[in-house]
Amino acid sequence: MSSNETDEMLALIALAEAEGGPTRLRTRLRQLAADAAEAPSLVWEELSSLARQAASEIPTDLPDSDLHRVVALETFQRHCTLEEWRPSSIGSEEFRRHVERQPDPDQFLRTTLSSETVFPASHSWLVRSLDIEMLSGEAIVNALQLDQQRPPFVLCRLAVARMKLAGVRVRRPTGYDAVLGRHTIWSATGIPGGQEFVDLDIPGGAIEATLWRP
Amino acid sequence: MATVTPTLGVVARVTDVLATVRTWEGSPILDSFKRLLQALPSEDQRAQIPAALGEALMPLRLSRERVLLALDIIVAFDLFEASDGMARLLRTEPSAEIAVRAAALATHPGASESLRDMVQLVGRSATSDSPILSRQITLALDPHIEPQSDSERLAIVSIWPGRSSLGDGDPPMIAVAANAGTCEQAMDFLVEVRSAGGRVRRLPSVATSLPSSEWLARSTVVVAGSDSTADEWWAKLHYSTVLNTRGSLAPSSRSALLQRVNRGLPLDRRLRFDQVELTRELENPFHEIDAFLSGAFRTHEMAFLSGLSKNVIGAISRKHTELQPRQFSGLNYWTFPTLVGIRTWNYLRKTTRRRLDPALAAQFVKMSGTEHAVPMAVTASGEILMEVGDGSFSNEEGQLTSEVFFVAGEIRQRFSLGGQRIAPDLLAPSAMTSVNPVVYGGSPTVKGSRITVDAIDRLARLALSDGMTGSEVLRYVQQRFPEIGAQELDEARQVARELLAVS
Repeated sequence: MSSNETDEMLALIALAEAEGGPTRLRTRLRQLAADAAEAPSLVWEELSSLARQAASEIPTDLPDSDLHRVVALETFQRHCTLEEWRPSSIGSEEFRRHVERQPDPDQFLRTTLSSETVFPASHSWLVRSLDIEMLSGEAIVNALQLDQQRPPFVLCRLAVARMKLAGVRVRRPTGYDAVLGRHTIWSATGIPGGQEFVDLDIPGGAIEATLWRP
Repeated sequence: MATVTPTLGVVARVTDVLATVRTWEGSPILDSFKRLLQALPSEDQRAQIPAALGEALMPLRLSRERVLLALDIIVAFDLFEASDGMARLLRTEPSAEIAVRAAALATHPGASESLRDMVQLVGRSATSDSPILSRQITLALDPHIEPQSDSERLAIVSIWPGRSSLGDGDPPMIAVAANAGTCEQAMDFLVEVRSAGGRVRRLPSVATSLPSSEWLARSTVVVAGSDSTADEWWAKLHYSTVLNTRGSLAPSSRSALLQRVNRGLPLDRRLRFDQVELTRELENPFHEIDAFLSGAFRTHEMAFLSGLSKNVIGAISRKHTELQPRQFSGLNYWTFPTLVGIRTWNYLRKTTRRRLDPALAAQFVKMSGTEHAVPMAVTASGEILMEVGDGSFSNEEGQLTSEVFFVAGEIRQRFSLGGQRIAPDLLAPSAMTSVNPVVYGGSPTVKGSRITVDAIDRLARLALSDGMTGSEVLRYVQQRFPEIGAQELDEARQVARELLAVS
């Protein structure tokens, strides 16, 4: 294992430790930190399990405004589309150029959306910001601090009514969610683009519109 | 690239990397492959990566998400040496999801017979499992089937790009021959082509059979070393261009090679070089947090922003450790404190018109980067004084003085270098451009964006070389960067020209 992976595990453990939690959990996290250099894969296995358990005990609420999930196009194709559009046989660059050629890319992307779970709980990070819709791909990188990612992005808009119908319940993110999403640079102070929320699994049916942001 | 048996260590490393890469961010296929190259940088290790990926499939199958990602990497980069490992996986887990990916690799002329046999076997039984995937397997096995939907047309274009009647604007294809360069170089080249939006094919050695005409796009550019047997082989393929690398794909020649590839492509199918720059930044070892805080300026950027020639910077840096750049791949990178130190020294030279010892620049470097602004003064003899309150300044021995010769508080603003020449504002070379050490290592960008002036200028020059007029150039640049207006384009090009003009 390289020091990068060990460092990542230590950063994630620190995020979980910062949440406080019961003494037994904090003691176990310290032990995991001691093992991070030797066996980061095993540490990750247990750390994610502990974080999943802790996150599941935090109360959630019904959403009170529209929310958005921003996802890079290749990730969208990989996880959110119907089987026939997935990268199993359609190359990511071919898919990108196909979207670019569409007269209405927003509508096209909506037709490719799967009705099953498109964002599992650990990746259901949402943003409440009316302004996010108006931003270009490059501006989204800054607003959401997506330094390692590049446009094009797909914005999935989750409208309140649809979310309620689909059983979406949200809450503010914690260090445990950051661990599950492996967001080592997550901060409790939030991001420039607005307040973040997390949800349990999000089904495709909760998504009202998909917006193309090259 | 000959098939090699991977060592257990390399297989373990590949498995570890793929067990921990991010599968929900950015471009998982490309980013994961880059991580593999970073983890296994030597020629010997990289030659083992394709087969090691095949070996890593069995342990990775415990996570469906990760084994599918590994399979997608193998298919996307044509790692045909992994075909035996893929066949073993398919024998253990004969699912349609795995078979459809195996079918895509089985089209490669270098893929093993065992993989083709397994795909045929599983493909037949996958019909009831998933009709869509079963159909995709059929499309992969037979290049002559007519598509029945948009998604099928796209699947055929992806697997059989030579079916040109189906493709309109599909990605440019670059095929890399086994003798094009070392394995280490070739792998980097594959990443650069993919980063720029191109499609890659790895050609097996000429000893194997010719690929079918549908397997390579009609306008494929073959990148190959010089070899008379190979040349004869390429000739049979009827490709439009064969570029001779003379057996080397060194970094210095790859950029020129990609430019040559681009010249032969229509505008809407060209490679996107701004994405290649990102690759360089991600692979840069200074992608550590301290480097982002302190910048990674190239020598011509240092010269432009400090108002000195490259020769002078080279001369003074050789004499003082604090002024020396860091090196990577034969290129010099300078930190932001070094830029500030050298620029301050030059500023004082120009405004006082005195000969100042370059050692002064080294002292400035030590002072820059502190947490708080430090009011500072320099005497006529070059002695540095620090403010101690009440407008008084003190030297290192603590002696107070009020006879300050010069207070250097405005070094970031533009200043005259004599004649018509000026050094630009340090953080804003022009009204619409900025320099931020945490954005692209400090390379000038359009204000409020992450678009480098260099990327805009290269796009504009490409368009001009194709005979476009001013408004056409703007539209062309806006296809990639919609937020760029005419004024931003002009200013970015002006700053880029000044950057290029430094001697």
